[in-house]
Amino acid sequence: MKGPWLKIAEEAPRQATIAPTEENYTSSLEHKKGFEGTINVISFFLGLQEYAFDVAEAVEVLRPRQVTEVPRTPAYIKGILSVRGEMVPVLDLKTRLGIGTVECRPSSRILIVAVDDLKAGLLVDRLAGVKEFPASYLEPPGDSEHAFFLKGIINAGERTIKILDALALVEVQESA
Amino acid sequence: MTKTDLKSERFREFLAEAEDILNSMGKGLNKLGKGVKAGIIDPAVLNAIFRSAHTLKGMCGIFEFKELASLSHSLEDTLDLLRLGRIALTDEVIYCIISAHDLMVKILTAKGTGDFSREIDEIKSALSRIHVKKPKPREEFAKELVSVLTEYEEHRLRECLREGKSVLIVTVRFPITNFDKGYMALTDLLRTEAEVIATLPSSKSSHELLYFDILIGTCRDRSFILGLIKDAAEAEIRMLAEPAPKLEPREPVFEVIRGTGQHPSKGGTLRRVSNTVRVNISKLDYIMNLISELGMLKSSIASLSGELKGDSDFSVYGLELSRTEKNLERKLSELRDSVLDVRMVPIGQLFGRFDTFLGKLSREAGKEIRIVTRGDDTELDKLIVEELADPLMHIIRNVVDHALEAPAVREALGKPRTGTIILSAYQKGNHVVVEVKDDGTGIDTELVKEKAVSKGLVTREYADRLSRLEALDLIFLPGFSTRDIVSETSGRGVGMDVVKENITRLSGIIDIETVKGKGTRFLLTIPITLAIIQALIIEESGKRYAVPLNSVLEIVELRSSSLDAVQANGEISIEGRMIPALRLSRFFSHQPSDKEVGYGIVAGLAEHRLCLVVDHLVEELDVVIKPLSRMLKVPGIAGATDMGEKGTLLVLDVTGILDQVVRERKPGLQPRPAIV
Repeated sequence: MKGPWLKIAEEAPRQATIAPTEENYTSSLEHKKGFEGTINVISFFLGLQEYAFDVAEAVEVLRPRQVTEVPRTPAYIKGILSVRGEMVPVLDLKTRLGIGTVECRPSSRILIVAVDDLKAGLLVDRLAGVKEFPASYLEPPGDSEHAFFLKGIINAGERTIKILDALALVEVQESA
Repeated sequence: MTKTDLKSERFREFLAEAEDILNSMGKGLNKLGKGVKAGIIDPAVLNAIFRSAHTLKGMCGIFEFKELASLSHSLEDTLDLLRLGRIALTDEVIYCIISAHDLMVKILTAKGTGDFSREIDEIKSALSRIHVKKPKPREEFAKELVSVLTEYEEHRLRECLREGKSVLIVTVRFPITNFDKGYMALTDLLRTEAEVIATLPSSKSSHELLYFDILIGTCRDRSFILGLIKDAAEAEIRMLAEPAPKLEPREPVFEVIRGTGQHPSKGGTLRRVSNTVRVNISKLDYIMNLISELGMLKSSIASLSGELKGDSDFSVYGLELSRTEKNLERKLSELRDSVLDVRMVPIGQLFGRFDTFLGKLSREAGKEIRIVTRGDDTELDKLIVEELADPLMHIIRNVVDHALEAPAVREALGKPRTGTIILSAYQKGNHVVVEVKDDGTGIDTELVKEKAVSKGLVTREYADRLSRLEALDLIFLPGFSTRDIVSETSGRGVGMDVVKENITRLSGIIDIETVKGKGTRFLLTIPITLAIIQALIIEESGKRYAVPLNSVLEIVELRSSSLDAVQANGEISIEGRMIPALRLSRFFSHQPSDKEVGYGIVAGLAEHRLCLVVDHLVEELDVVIKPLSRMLKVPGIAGATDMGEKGTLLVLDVTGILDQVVRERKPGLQPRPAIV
């Protein structure tokens, strides 16, 4: 069940600054199904706070690259990127959550998520890796910051990981 | 879209296609029935029916529609025996086949619900009771000949003789380089006067020339046929009756010509059923991508050869390279055209679906309506045909609900009781015009204005100033519906605004012509394909965009004085006509550059014109448009195209920009809902 990268991530989650190649991220995403009662997430950092998506929603990880800007779109949309022939919008996840902007650094990554038929790339500061937690660790978001975009919060001892709701992030709010 | 949606969508497609097949099968059976009465059986009709049954069987198998599959399977068996002449085509047999067809229609209409097993068993046993004749002894012909003919071909040979036709052997030769074209042309010619029974290759073939023996059955004599084909090929013609025709066993090349991968077997069951391939359109899209990438490589080669030509040491190579590049360009465009050709389907596929739809509609509306289709053979990209289905359905619904009068009213007006809807299609340059014409009440523009005002869509002053054509445009406003009562069929004003949106998304144009009391014509002008388009790459304030050439009327060079006019009053004079003009960057709310010279791209939508001003024209390329995500619905942008090394470019939707500008510049008209 566990790939080699997964182990490293669990034993030393904070050392993920040694940027792994795109290939082993993507291959680790293939370990999608966890055991009953566990949740598998791919986690990353925005500033100092750790966030994560359900691995089932993550498709692949790309290094930052030139995007094509699209006029008349909301500020959080950086532009579009051609991913294997498909035009994928790229979002600045910090802007989307209303917590600043993601600076493009060597450690930043574009995480491609897919929900329903929508696909989007999310620009994040730094990737941490694929992790597994007992389902009991997951708590409702309550009234924490940007709770609208959260599925829940994982409390694992010292750390808290905010689990994001990919659908809420990419779903377009139709203006009435 | 969820998986179940997708599945039911595919099932619906299957139902529609199966319906088409049963439809054409019914027509064929009709013809066959008449033929039996007259004593002439056309093998082409019989073959077509057989193919329909076979295709249907295959489709039902894929969709696990077991009842229909088993029925079409037994029907196919019977038809095969008929085709081979193993059973006689009597009235009784025809009746049996027709009832099988009727039952199949019934099963299909039930869409997988209901139990038909008893009826199927009845029909099946009736089919199996049909008496099978023993094959006749086959001593009359030379063994060499009979041994290479399939059972079907042999049967046709005997049939021709029985019908008093003479059987001739036409020996022709073609150069190996273009034998396929020559052969096709020749057989087409022969078919005008004869039945082509079989084509057999000859051992005389060499490296340069291929020899064929074509067996034909005809009522004409030898010299007539010789005269018929003398321009198409060098030929010798012999009567088969002549002693011992020299025929050699088949060679592999024979299979190539026939386009079938099957090998003749001893039992003579080589079935020339179908030589078509069903391909997922995404595979064709992939090929289109490759072609557009090749096009970009080609333009790199072009610039390289240009540089080489300028270099005195290498100018010879440069010339050579540029010649090769020209050849490559020709071949590329041939490749593009032939792949496009594969995507094309006749629009009749779509028209055929409206038959049953209209039957249901007219019953519900209590009106008598007939539908006439024209130009069914007009070809369009498969994807576009599918995209047209909904808009056409909405238009027809509207016509049935609003335009066509009840039978009694029509009689009182001196019109025929039955209203007519004519669906027609024809090609016009790179576009196809699809027309929906009715003989109903026509659109009353005064009534349209009243409605638009009372619904608060436009102001009274604005409506009063509108011309007749502009008033007609009002029916495309969201929320417009000329009837107060929402009817069962037109639904909740799912109206002309959606139609317009769909057509605009296809880079199409919709026009209306109407005469009060006489009827209305809806004209949809749609590009033949969106898979790959010729685009002009332009640059505006440092950003590059692709402009589809099919929406461009003309391109003009602009000097600073006219550019000032654009800034000042948003109009420009082109050939003495003032047309609205707009800087592209302004439309996209970017800062325009302060260039002295620019270019105007003139686009048209119905009677409207717009001149879009840009900084540079870069190059012309074939590009593949990819849709943008649902998250990014931006007016004026049709999609994006992947330029490989050169990144991704946005593709402009020029008619969309024009539409938006026309709306924005009409005071009194409520602006469109804000974009997200």
